[in-house]
Amino acid sequence: VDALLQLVVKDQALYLKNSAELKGDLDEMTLPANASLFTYNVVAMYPSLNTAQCLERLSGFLLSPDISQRYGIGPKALLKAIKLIMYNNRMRFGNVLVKRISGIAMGISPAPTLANLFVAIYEDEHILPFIPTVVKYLRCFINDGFGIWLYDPDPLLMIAI
Amino acid sequence: LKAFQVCLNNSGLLWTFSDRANEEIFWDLRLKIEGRKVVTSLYAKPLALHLYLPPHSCHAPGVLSGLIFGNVLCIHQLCSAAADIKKELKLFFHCLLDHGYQPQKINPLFQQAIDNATVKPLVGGSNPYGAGVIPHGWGLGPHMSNQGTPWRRFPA
Repeated sequence: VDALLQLVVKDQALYLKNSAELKGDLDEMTLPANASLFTYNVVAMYPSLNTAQCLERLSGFLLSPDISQRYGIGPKALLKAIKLIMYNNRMRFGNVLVKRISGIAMGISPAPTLANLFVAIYEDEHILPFIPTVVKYLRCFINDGFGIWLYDPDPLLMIAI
Repeated sequence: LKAFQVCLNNSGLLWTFSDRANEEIFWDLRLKIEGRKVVTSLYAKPLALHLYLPPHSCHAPGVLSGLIFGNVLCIHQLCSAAADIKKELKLFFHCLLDHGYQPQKINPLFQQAIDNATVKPLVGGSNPYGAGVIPHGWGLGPHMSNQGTPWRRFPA
């Protein structure tokens, strides 16, 4: 599951591999005068991730013919495997056995990939329109994001910054 | 900015945002706007312990070479300014000394690693010292501190 999803995740528009890639991108960039930097991150990502919402979003994305053809994946089998992983986590605390009913178990190998894709699908639809008009550059990896914001070139604002 | 934040917070997760600024910390990088460019240097938390394998560890000897070559390359790749590269190399060197490594053992490895990092094409940038030039005399040890010229031309 992880290997298949990684093919898709690494191809997403805002995917950031590592610091060296970020520096490479920034070195090639010349900023306008009204640029400023910002970072953003998620509060408690893995436990907060709604399992049903995540599966619904992944289904809508992976079942589209374009995606399955582009990456050569069988979406139905993959989704079945993802569902199996997400709904069957058991943990033992001493002699108590508990079943996870919400969120993604951080320790499972596809957890970062699932979380990455969950965010990336949303970004594709809703965040990309902000680029490049108000956000010059935006990259995100799982729960960490970095961006270059183009603020209103109001002279008073520029003095404040 | 508000619209962007609201939009991201509608993704099903709660996002927090830093204030807009000319300088930000992101992962292991300190990013700063200087003129029309973003310059980078390495960032570590103030309480970072910089723990490395001790010299008496039973790991294979190649692990030490790998550690030094990897970190030196990383420093060269991620720092924009030559002064930052020098600062980070010194810090790394002294961290290893603090862990008990002997200067005569790690000095040659550092020199080889610096040669390797400056001669090979760097990800995300070119040689910060100029083509074919590698920094020399980092003040990393007594035998390297009085070399006269701070630069030497790498042989073609």
